[in-house]
Amino acid sequence: MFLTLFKIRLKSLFSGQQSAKKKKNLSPAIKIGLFAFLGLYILVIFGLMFFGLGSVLFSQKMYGVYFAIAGAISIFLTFVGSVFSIQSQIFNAKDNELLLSMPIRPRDIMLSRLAALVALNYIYSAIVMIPAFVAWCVLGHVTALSVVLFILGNIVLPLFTLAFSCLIVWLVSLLTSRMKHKNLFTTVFMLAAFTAYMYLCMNMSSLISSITDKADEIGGFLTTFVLPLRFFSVSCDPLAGIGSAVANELLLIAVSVIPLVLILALLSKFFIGIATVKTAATGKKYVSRKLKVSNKKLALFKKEFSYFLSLPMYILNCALGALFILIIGVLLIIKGGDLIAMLTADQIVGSFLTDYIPLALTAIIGFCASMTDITAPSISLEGKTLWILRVAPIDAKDVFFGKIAVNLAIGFPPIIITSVISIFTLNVSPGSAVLVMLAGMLMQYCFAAAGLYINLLMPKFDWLNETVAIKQSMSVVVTMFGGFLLLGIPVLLFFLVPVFSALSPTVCLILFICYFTLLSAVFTGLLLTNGKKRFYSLSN
Amino acid sequence: MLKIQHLTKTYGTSKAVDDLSLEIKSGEIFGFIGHNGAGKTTTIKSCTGILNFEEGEILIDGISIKKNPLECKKKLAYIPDNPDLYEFMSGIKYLNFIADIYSIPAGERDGLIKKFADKLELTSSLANTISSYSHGMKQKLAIISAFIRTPQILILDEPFVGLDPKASHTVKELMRELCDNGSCVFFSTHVLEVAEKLCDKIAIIKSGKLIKCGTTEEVKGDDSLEDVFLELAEDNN
Repeated sequence: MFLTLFKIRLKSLFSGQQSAKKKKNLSPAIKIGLFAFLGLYILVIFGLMFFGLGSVLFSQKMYGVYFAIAGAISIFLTFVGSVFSIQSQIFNAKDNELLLSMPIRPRDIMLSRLAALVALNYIYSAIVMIPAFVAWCVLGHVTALSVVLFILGNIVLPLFTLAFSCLIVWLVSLLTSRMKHKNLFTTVFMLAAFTAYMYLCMNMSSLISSITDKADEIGGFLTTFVLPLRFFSVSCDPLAGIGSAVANELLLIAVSVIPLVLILALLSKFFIGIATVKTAATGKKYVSRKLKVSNKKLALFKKEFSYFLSLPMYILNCALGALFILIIGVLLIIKGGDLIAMLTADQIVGSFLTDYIPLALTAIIGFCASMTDITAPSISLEGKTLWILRVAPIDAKDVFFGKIAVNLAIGFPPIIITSVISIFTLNVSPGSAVLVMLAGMLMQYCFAAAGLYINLLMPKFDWLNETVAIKQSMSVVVTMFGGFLLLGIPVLLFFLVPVFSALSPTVCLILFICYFTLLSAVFTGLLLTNGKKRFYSLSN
Repeated sequence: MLKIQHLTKTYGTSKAVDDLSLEIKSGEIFGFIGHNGAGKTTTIKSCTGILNFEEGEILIDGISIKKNPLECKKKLAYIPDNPDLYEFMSGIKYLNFIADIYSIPAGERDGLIKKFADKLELTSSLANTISSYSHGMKQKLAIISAFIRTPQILILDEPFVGLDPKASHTVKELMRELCDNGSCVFFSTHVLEVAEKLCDKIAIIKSGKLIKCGTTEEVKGDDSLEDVFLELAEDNN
């Protein structure tokens, strides 16, 4: 029974969340090839990091610090990798009620779930520990005992992370289940996590240098406050005594396995409650009030906007561009003066460069606007509720209006704000700022219309989870990269064709506006002709 | 009111509906019965404009659903067998959204929503999000959203699935009341006892073809509708 449940769990973890019909899969060879390439890429990145770290630490005989840092990175990656899977595999698993209705003990259900998550954790851990092990073997001192204890340590360390992750997710679930604005909390949290992730990525090389420079302090901190890392670092240290190494290994096993056993016992005991809890808001008392009346267009806009705000994943994936434009505005306030000073350092070239600031800002805004593609999955997201719009006496263009209006409501304000900020921080003239604003808004409209049209051509209705419609949507990818291409054409023309580069920046900006006005007209025309036909023929 | 003329709908090489003709007049409750996969839902979706069809015509008050779909959709209300609604909305927000789409006047909508929500005992749950509703509650909400429009044609696909007995009884009363006021109801069902008691006319469809149509008395004769249905299903094998 356990093996059957375990296999089902593994399949659900690694397969896409799509319905069975109309699955067009890549060939297994291509899939394996892609995964192997990705795996190799990540292993190389970590390999370079650990070789750098090892070359500094091993020469100073600081093996404990090396393993503490490797263990910390492994715990971090495993935690981040498994925390969302825990939510979907344990707390929100769709087959909880089905399994509970069968003669299967809750403990067996929970054990199979945890076992599948442990398997996932081992994959994440291996991504870090294999390069760490190779770097250690090549650069450092290796003993048979330390290798055995390293391997054993890597078998039990992910168990600690899993127990810790389960506890955190359970506490967060309990906390948010009683929250009024759970989606807002989730969105803010995910945005914060994404910002932290982007900061890490953008500063990876300096972070690695910091780790290498301050390895001793970091290692000390980790071994003081994270008990499993203390035991792991001592047990793997080839310079530690046999007794000390084995004792620390046993302690590591204890602090890793015991919490997981406790978590298993707790989750099994409360499984029925966890599986059947209604997470949606219930128990609100209805108070009859005068209802607000809207016309059809406004009703459709409000519906689209509510839907957008209800899905943190939608906001995070399709409104990032708007966030980036706002961040640019903030950066202009903080660093705008420094940028001007840098550009005008050379008195001859300085004024020439500052003249092109509006053009450069327009290109940057356009690049970000192409990532504000809220319309791109909006048809797919109708999913099984498409019948409501198809049966209603509304013209397809009203439906399109609602979807595009939401995209613009999110996309326009940052463009307007940042364009105005540029007047005060980059010495852009008000006239140029208006042109930048107009260009930005036209680009945003163009990408919104294009995204909607592309989604009408490539709708995806066979999803069980909205995340699939958003993240695995070809229309989102095509819209974003198509936007880059449409933006790239005038940029390339400017740099490569002397006729354009000889024009004044203001004329270039006006031509840019004309170009995007034409594109906007084209996509609007397509929507109102072929787009409407496509909409009326949609069925799911 | 609703005329289906020689409707043919094909999926690939197989005909889901084959040369079907029906007429539902004002004041009639028309039952549409058939085995699984007979073509009932395809017929219903074609009438509501969700599915395009290759041959034939569907007229709603004399207006072609193909040529003037918006005018036709203003006159009808549709309730699917699986009420997939906007889960992110509360019940009352969904009803208000529907009222906006169908341009129900401000002065009337509060009263209509209250009337039907009270009758179906859903008023107390209207503030909660639809994602927290059971299947039956979603069905009730879909029914309320149809009745508040006072449609001229009400089309339902297996409307009694998931409804408790009291709600089923209420829905039957509302259907009769709607027809008494000049509208008509066209619905599919597997519950033959309901069709027998409720419907003025019945059509039986098998493998896309109409095999029997007439008043309930004409169709069932001296037997029960179940016996007639089973006999017809066997005869045509």
